[in-house]
Amino acid sequence: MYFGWFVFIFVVWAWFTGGSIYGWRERTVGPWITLGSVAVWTGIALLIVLFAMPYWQVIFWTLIQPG
Amino acid sequence: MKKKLLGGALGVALSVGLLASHGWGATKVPPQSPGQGPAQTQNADAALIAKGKYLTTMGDCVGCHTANGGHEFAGGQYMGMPFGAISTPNITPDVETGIGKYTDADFIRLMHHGVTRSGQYIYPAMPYPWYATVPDDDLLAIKAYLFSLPPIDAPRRPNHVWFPFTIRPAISIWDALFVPGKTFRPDPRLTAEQNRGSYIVNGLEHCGECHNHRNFLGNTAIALNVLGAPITKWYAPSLRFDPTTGIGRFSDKDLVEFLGTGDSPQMGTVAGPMAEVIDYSTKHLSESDRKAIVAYLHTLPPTPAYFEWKRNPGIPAMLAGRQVYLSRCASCHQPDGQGIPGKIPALDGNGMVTATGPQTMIRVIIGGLEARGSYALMPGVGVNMSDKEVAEVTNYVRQAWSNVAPMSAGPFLVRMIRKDTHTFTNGERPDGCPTLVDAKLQSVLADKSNGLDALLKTTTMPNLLNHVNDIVQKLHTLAPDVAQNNVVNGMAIAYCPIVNANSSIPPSEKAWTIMHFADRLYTQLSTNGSD
Repeated sequence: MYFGWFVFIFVVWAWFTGGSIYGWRERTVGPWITLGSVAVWTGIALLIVLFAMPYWQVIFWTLIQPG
Repeated sequence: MKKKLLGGALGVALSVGLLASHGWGATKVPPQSPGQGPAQTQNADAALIAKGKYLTTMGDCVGCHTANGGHEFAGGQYMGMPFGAISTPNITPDVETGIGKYTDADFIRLMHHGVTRSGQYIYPAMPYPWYATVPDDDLLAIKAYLFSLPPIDAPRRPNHVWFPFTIRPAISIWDALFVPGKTFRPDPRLTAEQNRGSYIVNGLEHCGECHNHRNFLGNTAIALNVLGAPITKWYAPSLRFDPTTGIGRFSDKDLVEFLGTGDSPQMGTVAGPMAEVIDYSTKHLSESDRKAIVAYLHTLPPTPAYFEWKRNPGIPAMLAGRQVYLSRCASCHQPDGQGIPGKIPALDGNGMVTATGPQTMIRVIIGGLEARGSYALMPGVGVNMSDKEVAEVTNYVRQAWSNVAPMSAGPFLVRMIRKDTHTFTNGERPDGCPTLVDAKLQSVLADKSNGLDALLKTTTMPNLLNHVNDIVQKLHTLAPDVAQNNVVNGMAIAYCPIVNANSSIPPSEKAWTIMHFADRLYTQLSTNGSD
């Protein structure tokens, strides 16, 4: 389950973060903007994985272990 | 530089791949046996089969490998995991869909290493890390028993596991880290009885699978052996002999009785997955084995499960919880939390109340408890309470009287648990009710000529007293051997679809109507000594 969604999110994330890194290599943007951009796209991808799909439950019940 | 980096990355990838394919260290998996059919057990002697049956019961195999209403050991039950649901396989000796092709070596490999005959790694939802300590002879006795059962044609239901947990070879890394590489050896410092208990607790009975704390990879670390842990939205309490946070306040006699019946004068009644463990496993063990379990638990240090912190009863959270308790719970459990001996369990010092986590208590408040022994059926009072109220009363009870458990229940946790809690009005059947399992009651209710079905269908709150009287009279004649708790549970289940189909009863009152019926029935049965 969710394999297709994982692939889709990875491709989109790789496209955006790859673009940010490419911009740095081409001297279009500086390193801090690249770093910030990668962090933002990674954060968005993680949020989608965790909350658009129910992966937060794995963290809640396995890592946090309420109680 | 690029080549070096690429080489390094490939090296890491290959290493991981090799480890994934073969495992490493202590848990090296033996190769698949070349045999095509069962090597023994077709002609296994009766003594071996009897031993295997006892050990299979000890391992509680039937509890997971039987679907609701399905054939025993034919699998098909879904095990809820945080990352999806895993279906249990058919372990009858059917050649196509069961374990009929397993040789002795295949079976031992499966039980010790978690690898199937086809070489597939199985999820550790099957407690093979615990079965890995069981000697070969005992495993072969289990195989002999399973192969003595009639083969059932029951294909495996599909798993619903989330990616990336579907990558099975990764399980071999988990196995290499956590599956012990040696079988049980008696500890010379322990008595024979304590060693027997250790063999049971740390082997087939796999108590730590629920009662041990889990690390972040989902392994039950032995370092916190039976100190209590959350498990599938329940909380398994500590089995250490600490008097406040564990089982130290209960006598050995009470503990042995509890393992044998699921209820006892000091401990009240069992709840949650442990009820299944008792019904399918520990109640069928010999009394000497149940005593051995308790004797072994005595050898563990009485480590407290949590820091005792008595909160001020005057703080707003306690006052709010007390208000809910007095209005919703105290009429049965009494204002002092002592319950009614033999009928209503005490909450003061109750094991499920004083567990580190509040999950079990929340589940019981919402879902209720079936009648057991002489104890009454508990209504799911939380069905009509808000998440906040359930959290407040949970925290209050866990801190009231002599209890000092953490006030860790919150509305969010209650909401999460409520979604997965079955009550009498959201059972697993299409009509929203639980399944009636008592065969005698099933046949009595199916026979329309005895009038019981018609009586149930016309039972309403105004005529409840008279109808329950008539139902009890009929049951005395029609099903005199059915135990009181089974009558209460079974008739409540039978009444459930009638209430659910009655549009004149508001949805919010359906659970109460069923529970009120069950309560009336229990009272009627328990006051005229008809158990």
